[in-house]
Amino acid sequence: MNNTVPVNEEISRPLEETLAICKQSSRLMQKNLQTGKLMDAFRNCSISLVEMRNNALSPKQYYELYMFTTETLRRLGDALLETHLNGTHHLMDLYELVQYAGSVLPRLYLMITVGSAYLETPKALVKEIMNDLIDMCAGVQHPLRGLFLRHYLLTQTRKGLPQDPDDDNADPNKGTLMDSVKFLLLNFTEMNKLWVRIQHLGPMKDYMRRTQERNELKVLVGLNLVRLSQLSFDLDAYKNVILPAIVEQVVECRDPLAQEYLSEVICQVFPDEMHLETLDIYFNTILNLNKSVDITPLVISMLDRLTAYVQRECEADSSDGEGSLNQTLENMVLENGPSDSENKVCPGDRVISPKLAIQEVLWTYIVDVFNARSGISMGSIVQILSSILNFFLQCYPYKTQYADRVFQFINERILQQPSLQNELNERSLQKSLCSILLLPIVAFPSFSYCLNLPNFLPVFKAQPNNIRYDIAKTVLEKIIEKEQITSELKDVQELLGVISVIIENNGNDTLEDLKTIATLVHYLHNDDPQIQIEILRCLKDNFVQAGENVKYLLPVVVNKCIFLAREFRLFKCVDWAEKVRVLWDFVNACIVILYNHGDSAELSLILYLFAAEMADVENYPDFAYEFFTQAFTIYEESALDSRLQYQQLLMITGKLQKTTNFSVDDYDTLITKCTLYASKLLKKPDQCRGILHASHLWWQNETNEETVLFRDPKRVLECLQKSLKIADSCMDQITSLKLFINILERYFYYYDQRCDSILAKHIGGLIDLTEQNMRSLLTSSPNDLIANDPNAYASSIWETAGGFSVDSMRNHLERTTNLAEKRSEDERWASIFQ
Amino acid sequence: MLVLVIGDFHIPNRSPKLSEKFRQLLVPGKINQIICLGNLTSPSIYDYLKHVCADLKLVRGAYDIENKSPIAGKLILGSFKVAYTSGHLIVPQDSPEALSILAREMDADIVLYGNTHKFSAFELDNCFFVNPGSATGAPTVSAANDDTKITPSFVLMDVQGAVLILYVYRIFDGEVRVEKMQYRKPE
Repeated sequence: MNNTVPVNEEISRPLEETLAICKQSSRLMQKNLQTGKLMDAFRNCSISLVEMRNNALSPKQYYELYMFTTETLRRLGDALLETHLNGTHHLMDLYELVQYAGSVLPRLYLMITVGSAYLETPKALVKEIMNDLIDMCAGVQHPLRGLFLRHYLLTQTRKGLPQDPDDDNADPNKGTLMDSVKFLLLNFTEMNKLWVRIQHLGPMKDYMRRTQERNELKVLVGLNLVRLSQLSFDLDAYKNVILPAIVEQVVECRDPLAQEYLSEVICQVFPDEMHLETLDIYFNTILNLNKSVDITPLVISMLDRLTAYVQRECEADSSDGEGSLNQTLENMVLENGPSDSENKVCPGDRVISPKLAIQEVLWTYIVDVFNARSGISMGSIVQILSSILNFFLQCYPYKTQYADRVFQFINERILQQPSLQNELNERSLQKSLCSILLLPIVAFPSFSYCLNLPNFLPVFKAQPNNIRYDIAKTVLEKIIEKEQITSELKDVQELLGVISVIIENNGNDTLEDLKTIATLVHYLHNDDPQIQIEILRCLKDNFVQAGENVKYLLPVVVNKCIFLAREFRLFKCVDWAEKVRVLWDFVNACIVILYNHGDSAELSLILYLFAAEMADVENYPDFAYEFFTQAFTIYEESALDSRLQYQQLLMITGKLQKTTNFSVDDYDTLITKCTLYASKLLKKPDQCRGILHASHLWWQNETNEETVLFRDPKRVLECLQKSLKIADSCMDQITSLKLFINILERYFYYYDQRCDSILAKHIGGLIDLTEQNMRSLLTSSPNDLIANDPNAYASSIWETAGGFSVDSMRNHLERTTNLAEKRSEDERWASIFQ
Repeated sequence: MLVLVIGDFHIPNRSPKLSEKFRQLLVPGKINQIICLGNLTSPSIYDYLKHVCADLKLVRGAYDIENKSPIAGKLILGSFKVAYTSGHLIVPQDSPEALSILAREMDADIVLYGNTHKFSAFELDNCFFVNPGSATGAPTVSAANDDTKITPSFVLMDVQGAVLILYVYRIFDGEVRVEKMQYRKPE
């Protein structure tokens, strides 16, 4: 073969020129291949390959040239393989032939092309060719060209490398797995040396640029390790041959960029099962890296990989019916707490052999890292701790001592070190510590687990207010989301200690969070009412720290107490009735606190009514009486708007009317007072309706229970007649008529109830009177009618838009009288209309 | 036209939250109107209901402190005049006759009311009364209530002209059960 270019002349051209030459040569080569002119094709190819010696190209540009060239070589290789298969030329002959190419680089590219095609043919002398190729590559010591050349070797030999295990009966020519391993290790070592050398070529001022360029080239080196990882070697080979060889090169090259990159690659490409058995090698390597290498990401990568490995393996297990990690954690919810989990198997133990004592091993290495690297930043330490905490939480959730060790470390080696106080004020560090505290809160199924880590709370308490606030919020959210019940008083107290930061916060944005705390109370529960009341007391003591905001927190406690009264009766512990009396005193105290803290009159009144209702039903009439009295007091004392006042009076009336356990005297006292309040309302229509409703107090309704009903028909009639008198005295004719209809309805009601003071003639008379007033209203001129604002009266609560017209009133009257008429088959009703 | 009738949540003071089972049913886009009978009592429930359907009619319950909603409201559905109120101001409480008085005062053929935390549907004096119960199953005082827990419930009304179809949704043992009822307006 003749070459037209002198053998070792340097070429220096811009990329476009080089590519033009290559494209032309490539075209010619194609033509020659098609016409079977092999020698000419080789010549064309060589011309193209010579351009690979162009030293004016940057790595990126060289890469572009490389891509084009290898494409050309691929076509050549395919064509040659074909001629081999159809017997025209034997690849071994061609292999010899191309070695006569003048220039080194083109020669080697051609050798690799032919040799690698040959490797894939049956009965090839694999071992011989492999060794030959890799030895020859040493002839190119120019870093950039050498890297790409060896990369080409890697890509071309991908399929051809032997994979058979070592075997005495093996064909010595074929080569074994270990031969491939050695091949790749050698290629890796050489490529790394070339790569590192780039850093030191050229002037200092270009140092940064060279680092940048090397960064672009790193995957070329990394590919060796990827290829290695694709071979199916066993643990023994990895531990004793492969990893030590790689690691030796990594440490000895002393180059930070290489060390950092390659360590990360080792961590990522090799199987986790093997990492578990070679952690000593890995960590010792890391500790021996150049001081300028940041080993934090390397530690974290390994920890995270192991965590992910355990999670994956456990999930794969679930198809065997053993339950996935999630299911395991869900099952934990059903237990009562950490103490029940002693018999459960940790995911880590299912996947990793306990012999490895992986928890201890990892912890030891991490502490070694902290000790060895004195320059390591606090932020990095905390990040590493976060990773290992995650590992312990995900893999060994039932062995809480490991997770606690992390917090113990933080407590003793970080928080309690006076020299580190300044650093602890930095926001980024605070945020990292916050994330660490959140990890167990989110991972464990219940907050009680966190409380069982002795060092968790001290770390929490040492955080600044705003961090504690955020963590407390997360604790609340998780408890409510997972619906975990906390039932031990001690746990409740510690939980309150955690959320006290929210309670004591007086900002305006706390309101939502206070409501969340109120929601939380539903999840603090013990089935034994004697303990439950202690829990509620504890809550009240804490909630009063909220100052004015107590009105958002205490009502739920009051409600819980009220229902607790019933639970005491059902639980039937010793002296339960006496204990309920104490409970009612507590309820009273709580409502008093509410009433005294800003603006809660309305709320206090209803809570008293609610307490009174339950006290009556549970048969504590003295307390019921007390609560009604308190409600009346608030009613009197509050300067309410008349609308609200009327509504409150109706509520009191309604609740009072339902009571069943008062003595006759007590009941009488209360209802008389209530009716008196009605008569003292300011506006006449309100008085009228107030007394109208109060009439029911003298006519209790039948219930399913067998209770004595308080009924005084005379007083009922008195109320009705009083209402009538007031209605009649109203100056506004429309309102007056409206009231008449309201009163008529109640007359019908009592007549239907067979209240014997209500006689047919009363009703008949009232109907006549009402209809008469209606007629007179309809015939009066519109101007005489005061068009009243339907909202003028507090008692006009059922008015809707357009409901106050004369027409609608006429219809109302009609509907009412129709009701009676429809019943006139019944003689009693018929008698009304006579 | 589907109308959701719901109320008596009492969140957070008597119930922690609305059941997830109900939340899954009440998605936006399926309901034309909501009539809420009060006692939310948290503003977040208001926002939630608004999100389910923007056309929200709200009345004030006993525990809706500082709420400016009216005590009662009325609207037309098909050929029905529907009145609605929380029910805490009706005297006597638990009295169908008192409800009937209210129906005539407000000139309604259907009255929706709450406060008892117990689903109920009955006809009286040519008017149909519906109580959707408590959406969260919030506890309440009642002599008849010793160990039974309150069933969470709400009601969906579908009005076609003079026929009202009622779908009652209740949670029993953690599962939602639906019953269907029908009421035809009398001539």
